[in-house]
Amino acid sequence: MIFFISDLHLSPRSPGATALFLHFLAGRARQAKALYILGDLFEVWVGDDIDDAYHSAIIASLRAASDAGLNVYLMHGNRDFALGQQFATAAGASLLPDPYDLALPEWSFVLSHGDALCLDDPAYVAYRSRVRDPAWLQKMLDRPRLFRRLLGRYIRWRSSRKRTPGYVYPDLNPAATDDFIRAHGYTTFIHGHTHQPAKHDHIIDGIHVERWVLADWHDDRGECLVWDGEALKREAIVAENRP
Amino acid sequence: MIKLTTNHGVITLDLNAEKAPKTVANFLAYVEAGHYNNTVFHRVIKNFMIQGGGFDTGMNQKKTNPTIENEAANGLKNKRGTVAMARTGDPHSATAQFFINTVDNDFLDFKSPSGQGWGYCVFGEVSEGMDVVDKIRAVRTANKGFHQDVPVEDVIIEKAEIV
Repeated sequence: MIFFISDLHLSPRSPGATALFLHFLAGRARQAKALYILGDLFEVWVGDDIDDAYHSAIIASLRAASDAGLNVYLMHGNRDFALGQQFATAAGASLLPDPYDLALPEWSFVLSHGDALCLDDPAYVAYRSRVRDPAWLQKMLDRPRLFRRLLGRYIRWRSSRKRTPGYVYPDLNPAATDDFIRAHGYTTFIHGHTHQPAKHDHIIDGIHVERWVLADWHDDRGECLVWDGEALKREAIVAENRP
Repeated sequence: MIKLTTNHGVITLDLNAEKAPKTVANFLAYVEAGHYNNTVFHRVIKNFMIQGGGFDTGMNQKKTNPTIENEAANGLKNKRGTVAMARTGDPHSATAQFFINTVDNDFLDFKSPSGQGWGYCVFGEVSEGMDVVDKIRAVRTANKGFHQDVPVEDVIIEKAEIV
């Protein structure tokens, strides 16, 4: 089995989702051969050198799952684009480029966070081209730690303002999406980012292509897309009550 | 006292508001709201406990109120016939699900206020109907979906009321 997740947006402000993820890593995830995290594992990331108890616990859990035989692959999202090799090494994960062509013996997929195709919001396109510029990123990471900690806090605050009820995430641009699928050999497309989980059927040049949008995680519920070798299906991750 | 009318008979619970005030208030609020009516004992392990109060007869998880503080440090022990709150890995995460210990489960008792040591909060005991609990713990169970130890035939709490 192969698991796909994205948009967990973990932060000290989301203890429920964090607990769900740690529970998932210690349990259900271990039954998979590989776990693909397609961006925005974290709500914000301002450098691998910002170590605190919260992030250390997550890194340790990823490491434990990886040591137990789970292959963990990590793609950047639009919020945790600054995740670096130091983090990946500590977590026992491999960083993936976006997009990434995943060829399995039985089927092929193309994986992406998805934000690169959200071209209908000019402000977002401008923001993205700035923060994904390596020079800009390096400049940001060279700033003092205190500055970056405050920056992280500011970004969390700003995004919590934006996500008022009724806020709709911009969706993918249809024409660009078709071109993207064409460029990747009409293979099944899995992405996150839009927080609008769905399965879309595209007919491109007469070829039927499925596009699966991953769900974002909440404090009481997460979701994982499972490839069992034959089909994709969604699986809810809920916190089980136990004695 | 709380009267649980199940399809296997009546279980009455004596709650200990003195030792577990917040937990008892939380439980009473669910009873008064009718939350437990037509929920099931969805996790039954004969020589451990019977757990319920969180799922309807279709095994759909019911909406809950916010989580409560863990009062497991109140000195009450998880002895046979006591009722305690279920929770997730977070010590302070109990909502609606509870369980009745069918044997002495010392390992569930509070040990220290740290991750693993918190234990499970006992907040009452069965005053009548332990024979009903014994009937329930003996039912046949199987895996259902992602859940283990689910009774093959529903064990239903038809009604929970304050008497």
